[in-house]
Amino acid sequence: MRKTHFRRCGASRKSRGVFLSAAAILLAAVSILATSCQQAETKNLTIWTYDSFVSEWGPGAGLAKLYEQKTGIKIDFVSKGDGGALLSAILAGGKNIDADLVIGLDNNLASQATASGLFSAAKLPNLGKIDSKLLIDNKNRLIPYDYGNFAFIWDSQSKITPPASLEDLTKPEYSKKIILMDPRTSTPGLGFLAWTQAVYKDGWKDYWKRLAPSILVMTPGWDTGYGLFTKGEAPLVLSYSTSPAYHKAYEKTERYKALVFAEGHSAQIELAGILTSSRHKKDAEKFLDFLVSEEAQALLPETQWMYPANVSTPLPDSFSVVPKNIVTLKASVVDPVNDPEAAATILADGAR
Amino acid sequence: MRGRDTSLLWSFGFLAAAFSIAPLVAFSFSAFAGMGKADASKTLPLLLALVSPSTLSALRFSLVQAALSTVLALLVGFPGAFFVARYDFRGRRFFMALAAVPFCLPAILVILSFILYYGKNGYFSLILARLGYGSKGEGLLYSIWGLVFVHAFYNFPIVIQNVGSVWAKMSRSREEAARTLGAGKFRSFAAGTLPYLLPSILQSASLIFLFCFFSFTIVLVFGGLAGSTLEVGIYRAIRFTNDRPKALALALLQTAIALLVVGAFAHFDRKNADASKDFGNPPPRHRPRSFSLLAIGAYSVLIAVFFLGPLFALTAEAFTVRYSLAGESRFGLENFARLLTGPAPLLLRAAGSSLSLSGLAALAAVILGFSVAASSHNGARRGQTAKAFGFRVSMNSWITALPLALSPAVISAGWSALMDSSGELLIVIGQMAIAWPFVARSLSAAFSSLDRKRNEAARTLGASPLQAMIRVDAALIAPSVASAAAFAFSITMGDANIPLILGGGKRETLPLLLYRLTSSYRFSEACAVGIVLALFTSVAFFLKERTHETP
Repeated sequence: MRKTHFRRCGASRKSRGVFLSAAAILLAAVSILATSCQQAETKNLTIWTYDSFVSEWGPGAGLAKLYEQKTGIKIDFVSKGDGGALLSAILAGGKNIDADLVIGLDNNLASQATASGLFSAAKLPNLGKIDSKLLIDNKNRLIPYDYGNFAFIWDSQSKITPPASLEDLTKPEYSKKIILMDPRTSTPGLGFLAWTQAVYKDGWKDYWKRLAPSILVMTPGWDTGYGLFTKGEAPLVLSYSTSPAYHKAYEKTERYKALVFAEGHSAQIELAGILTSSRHKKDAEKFLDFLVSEEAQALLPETQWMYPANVSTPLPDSFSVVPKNIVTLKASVVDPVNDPEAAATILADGAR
Repeated sequence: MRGRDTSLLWSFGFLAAAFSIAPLVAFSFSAFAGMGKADASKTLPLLLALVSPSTLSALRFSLVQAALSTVLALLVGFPGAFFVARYDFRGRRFFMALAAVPFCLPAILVILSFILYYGKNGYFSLILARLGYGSKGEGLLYSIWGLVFVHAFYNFPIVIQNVGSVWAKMSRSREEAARTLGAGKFRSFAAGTLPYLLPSILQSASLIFLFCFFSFTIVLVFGGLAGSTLEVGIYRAIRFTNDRPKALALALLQTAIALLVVGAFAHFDRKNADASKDFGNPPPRHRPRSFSLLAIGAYSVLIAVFFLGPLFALTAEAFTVRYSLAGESRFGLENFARLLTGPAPLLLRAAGSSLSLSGLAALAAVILGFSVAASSHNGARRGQTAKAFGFRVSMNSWITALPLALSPAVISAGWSALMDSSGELLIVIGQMAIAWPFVARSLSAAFSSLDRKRNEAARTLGASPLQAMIRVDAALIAPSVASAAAFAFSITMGDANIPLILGGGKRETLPLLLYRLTSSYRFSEACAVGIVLALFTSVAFFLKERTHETP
């Protein structure tokens, strides 16, 4: 029996070897992954943005290509999840962010972003071409690059008559006919809340109470809500006035129509800015100026499905189905911390 | 030698626990980091946030919907558990393998598939309308009942798997004894079987309860108007109001309640393990005859109509090409073709990055999970007292159940606070942290069902504990490791939370592609990606056949 003693040690070492080699393989694989995603060059501009901006249908790749052709400077887009996650990442990163620009904040997130002191003012030659009502930061730390009016989209093949005002939505004929987004978790939901506050002032809670029976479902984000709408769950959905342009361009249909409401509409303004931590501020400023130039702006309508901020940008044919007579209201949520919760609670109580 | 083995193995346990707690700790630091000296003044709002009426109503709704969902899932799953335990029939293994679904299908796919099937224009509704039951229950899907229904039909396979596998091993002698003593069918079941089945029923119940308690997207879509959950509050506090202290307060409240459930889970889990030890040889399963065959048939139809229907609808949608001009549609491969051609073959690229990231995460999860499982079962062989062994097993239950009690939103935010750069590595680690507990669970079940006599024989012949483990146990346990690895792979493959919240870095994984498609109006293509994703995750369906593992 004693002789097994030697083998025992050997096998023991061997078995530990199995563990060690497995760990080594893992470490190697992880480090290959880690190094493969580190950027070595410093001449590039690094831009933090959200997912859909850099996706294949977003403008990211096109913008980067165009800019590299013009200047030789490479653009590195880093996606930080969605718009809310982007701001969280910026605030968490503070002054040590390894990026030059941020693209993808909006008017709802603007005050938090500018208050952080992490954005520096930009002087842009093209600034004068931007629709002046979009310039919401008077120090030009956050520059608008596109915008869209929130609007209800109506399925013209449904049997309902299209509503013509916010007040119409509360009529019994629209009972359980509307898909809304949650103001607590989505930008359109927040935009709708701002819209009702701009129109009804102090009476907005009463309005939401009257609206409650008309709401079929309140989804966490735009994508789920719009998905339910195109699957025919309800004939009305909260979206953007530009949504019909997508269906026109890709499905050759004008079935889905944006409704113009008499009271006016709120808007989402998308913003970009230069980080104070940037080590290439001049280059960053140049890119930002490029972003609001007609050349770059022309890429946005059919990728972002939003209006370009630069007023002299020509619009594609598909935008012919977007109603032009929309009045944009100055609207922002009065109390961004408590009002969304209050609104959602009113809807929930009303639906019960 | 012995001491070093123990400490080596124990350190895996601590490492594993650290993986679940690290992001929570990191998140807590990030929540308090911004406070500076005003700590004291912030503590009060933190406490106030806990008792606000909206928090309390969210808590109540979270508990109520989770409880209702669990009860319905048990009711739906129990007959299935009975059938797979007692009978040998075609599709038996398929029933057991369905348990992979709740772990592997991303929530957005669940939502899409249920809408495609039960929605206003869904197949189910159309068939109902054909039969003359149209427009009943309009809007019912978007109420608490719709939510409970979706949750139940998403989670009931867990009951079939967990309860069914214990039941199958249970000797029938007790029940038969009761019958001989003159008890009726029901009474003999209640006296001879139910008490021994109860731990596994409660274990499944607590697992399902936890899933539903933390469920977020499904709750918002289907129960959005009925009420809100704590997870919604956490998500909003992190993403929109950037109020991390509040998110932390809510998360701690949520975790405290979940820990009670986890405690119950760990307790029943251990009881389950104890109970299943004494069963002896599993009784043979019979082919079903007449009445039982009819019952199994009826049950299969029920499952096919209510559970497989949505999955079928999802598949059909992926192969449907729509021209919404006239609402026309036809069968075709264009949704896939669009994703495979163009300037970059998106689908291939995403599949590639998903495969490599999930492969790594699954490998890491298997290594960690195996080590943890081994560490808790190795002790008994060294003549530990039963009490010490029990302690180890219960520690193991706790460690592996702990990750189930943490808010996914907080965990993701915590990981991103922990490591700011290199997205891929972060995703691998984050997903590994999700998957390893399930590996550890199924492997500890496998370890505890090992025939210890063989190991002891090897030890008597002079093998070291580690040698015996590798040479004897490992050979016996290898199939379980393979199926646990497949399961881990499916979980990490199907996980959309981690890459969604952290951003995919420079690699686009399948779930990310799916979400980007849905946010770019491309829902049919999203279903096509979903099908590819489901194909990969269904690896588990084919490899997961061992009945002794519990997820």
